[in-house]
Amino acid sequence: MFFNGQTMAKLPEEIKKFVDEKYHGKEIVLSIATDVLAKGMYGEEWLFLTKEEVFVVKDSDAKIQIVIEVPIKTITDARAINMVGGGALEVESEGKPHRLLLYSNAKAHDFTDAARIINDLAKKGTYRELNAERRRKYCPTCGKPIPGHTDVCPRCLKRHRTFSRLFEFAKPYRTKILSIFLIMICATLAGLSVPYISKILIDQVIRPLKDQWRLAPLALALLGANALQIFLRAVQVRIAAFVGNSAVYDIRRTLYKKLQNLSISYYDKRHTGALMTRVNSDTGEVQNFLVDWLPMLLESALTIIGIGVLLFVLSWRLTLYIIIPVFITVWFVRKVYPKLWLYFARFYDKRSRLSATVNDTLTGIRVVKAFGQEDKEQKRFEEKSKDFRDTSILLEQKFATYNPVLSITILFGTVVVWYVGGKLAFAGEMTLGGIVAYSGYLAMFYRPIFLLTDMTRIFTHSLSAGERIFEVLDAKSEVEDAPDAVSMPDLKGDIEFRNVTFGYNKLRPVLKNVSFKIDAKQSIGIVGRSGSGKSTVISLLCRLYDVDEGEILIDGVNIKKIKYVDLRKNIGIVLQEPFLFSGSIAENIAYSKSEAKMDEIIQAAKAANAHDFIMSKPDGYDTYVGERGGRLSLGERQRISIARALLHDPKILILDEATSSVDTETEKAIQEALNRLIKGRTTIAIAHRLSTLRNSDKIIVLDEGELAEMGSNDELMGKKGIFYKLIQIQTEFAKSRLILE
Amino acid sequence: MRKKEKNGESFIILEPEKIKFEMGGSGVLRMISEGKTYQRVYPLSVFPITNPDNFISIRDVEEDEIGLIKNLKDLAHDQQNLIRSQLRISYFVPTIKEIFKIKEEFGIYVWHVKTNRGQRTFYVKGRNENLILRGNSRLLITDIEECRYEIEDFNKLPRRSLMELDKVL
Repeated sequence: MFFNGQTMAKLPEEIKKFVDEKYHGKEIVLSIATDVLAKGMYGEEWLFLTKEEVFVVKDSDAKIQIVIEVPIKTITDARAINMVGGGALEVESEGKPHRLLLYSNAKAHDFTDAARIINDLAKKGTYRELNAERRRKYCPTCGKPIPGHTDVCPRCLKRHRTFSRLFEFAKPYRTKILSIFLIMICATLAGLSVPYISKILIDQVIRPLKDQWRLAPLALALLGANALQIFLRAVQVRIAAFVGNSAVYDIRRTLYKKLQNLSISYYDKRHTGALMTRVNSDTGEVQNFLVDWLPMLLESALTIIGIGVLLFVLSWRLTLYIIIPVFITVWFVRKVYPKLWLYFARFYDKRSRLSATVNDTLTGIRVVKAFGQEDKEQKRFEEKSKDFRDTSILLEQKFATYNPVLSITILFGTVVVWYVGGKLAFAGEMTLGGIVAYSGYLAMFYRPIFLLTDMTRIFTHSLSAGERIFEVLDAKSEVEDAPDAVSMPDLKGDIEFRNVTFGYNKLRPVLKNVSFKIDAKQSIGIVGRSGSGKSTVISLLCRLYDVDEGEILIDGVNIKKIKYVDLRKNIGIVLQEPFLFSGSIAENIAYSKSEAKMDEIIQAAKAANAHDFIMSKPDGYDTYVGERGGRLSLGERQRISIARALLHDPKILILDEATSSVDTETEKAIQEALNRLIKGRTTIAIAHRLSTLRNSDKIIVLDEGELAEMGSNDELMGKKGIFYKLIQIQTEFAKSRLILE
Repeated sequence: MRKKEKNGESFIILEPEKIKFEMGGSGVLRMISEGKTYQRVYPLSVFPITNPDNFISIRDVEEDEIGLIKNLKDLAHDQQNLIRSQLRISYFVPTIKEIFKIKEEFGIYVWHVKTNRGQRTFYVKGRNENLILRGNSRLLITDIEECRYEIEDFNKLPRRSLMELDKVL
């Protein structure tokens, strides 16, 4: 009946009744709510689709009415016009256009799908079910958006789960953690005993001037207690450092491994910088949390309990009085700290914006100078600098104001201790030693309290870092083998694309219903204008992405069902922009097969016409290629990547030809190398060279994502269609190049 | 839909006297130019943020540009209104008039606001990655659904709104 999960809004009862009445007996294929009314204001209207008509219902002024109704069989075109921030669903019927409804971007996906279904119904009478695999944007439990790119809603996933997960990493160090805890208790006890010892010293020895022999041992005891505390703390920190850092090392390792396993589309959707931050600084934050904050927080909790008890024991009457100043201090800190943190955040923000501006200008200094824009850049810098200065001043001023106020509130407490304590002393209920001890404990009391009030922020901050890490660890490894994956170590190399539709952005498919077959050992050329979908075909074949609709088959098996390791072994690529790792030439050639023997490497290099230039370098095959192969020229890099592919020896070769940017000599060498590479493999080449095309068994021409023409070179030239035109342009271009050279 | 690049040397200017816009059936704009009727036209501002009234691109349903209107103000009033009301729909960017509350949860900020198109609650990822400052006090906000909102001049917002905005600026 109604599509479930597609509508976020629930269909109101009155509308449901209205529709049931008016369209009695008709099956409702689709019902979607929009969030924008016809005039452009926010509001709700409902789109309904039966097999015979499409109509829009709205509930205005308590009257339900049909806004517009169009019979399906009169519809010649239905589309979701995506504009800025929103769009409109329009159909064309009997030559006239009709705007059915408006929507904001939030509903763009829904209505694009709706348009497709309407088109299907109008043209074919049937429709395809919507792709149910759409990533869940909203949590089904609480209805709020899922922040990360996982399917897990962090609200509904209880906070303490992250906590316990972090502790999973600490598990192997259980005994050490226990010992830390015990040491902490001992250290705290030692610390707490110090004021008490001074109380004894004052009350039982110094004031009454009695038992002088006790001075020395008591003083030593004071020293001892302090020393013990310091010593135990040091030991604790040592162990904590070991535990914390080891746990973080484990987290970092797991994280990095996971990042390697993630799909390309995961990387597409995110800043590489953000992912690097995850590995570097988020793990650092978690480390801080485990090593520094957590022990401190525990210790603070212990201290507070301990001191609280002691204060009460020393003088419950005084404790009752002291609650007020302590309360005021704590309240002040709780209210003020969050605000300060905001100023800090803004400070860091402005600072990074400033350095981004500087970075920008200095990196692009050539352009700045070429266009004579130094003054403009100077102004831009000054603005940002001024902004930063103002924010810094504000921050420090706020600090300068809050700190004294804080100190005064604390002093207030001290005053109460001495005044009330003094009065109690006069009444015989407290001793001097007691007052001094009390003072001492109170001084020790504040720091842990401040720490604990900050606790929520620290926890949130660190757990957020932890969550970001787990977000990556939880991300679906799209590169995992399906449970029923087939092992195919020896492929023949038959490839088939069957009704493949795909788009990096689901709303704009780059490939539309593309179908073609390639037999093993054939070489195919793919041509088309830029953006027609050529590189996408290749990415899909490498299984860097999965198709939205249709299938890709290798040797008759769906590519999704083939084990990754076999796919990777049997598919090799040579890219336009050859990517080399910073290592030696030999290491790069042997990248796919680290156990490759030296003669294999040399053989591959020879076949790639690379051997000679490699030997012309002083370090030969051990030459370091630099970051991204930057120390080699483009022609050299290309040949190394060809050698790499030769060594890999895949059954299926994917070739993304570079538009020639090398001299004709090198061009010839590369061409020869490629010819050797192609022999005996199923080759798919995004062709730019006329020679490649002439040598291809079959050529596929893509136009705006659709398969436009397919056939041999001669057949397509004879057709005088798109291919013919492209070749004309290419030959003209080549001719003009020759003249220039 | 991919825009086909028409190879031409320059763009086509639509002369105000030579064109006429009409509201077609059910809300779709229609243009008559030099005897030819374009059933479905969609106007877009070439400089939507800095200069929305100058250079309006008139496009057809396949996103091909039919021509440009140099200045909206050169058209007759009723014509201007037609285009403006259509632009208002093409650019669904509500203006925030008041911010009731901004709350943070797991790195997502929940905004409860009142706009010139009604009340709205939306979610923004991060504190200010999705906030763009244009000029001195104009703010453009993109939410998690890629819906956009704008604050024309945050200095003119009511005080409570400013206090909320402070949490993220």
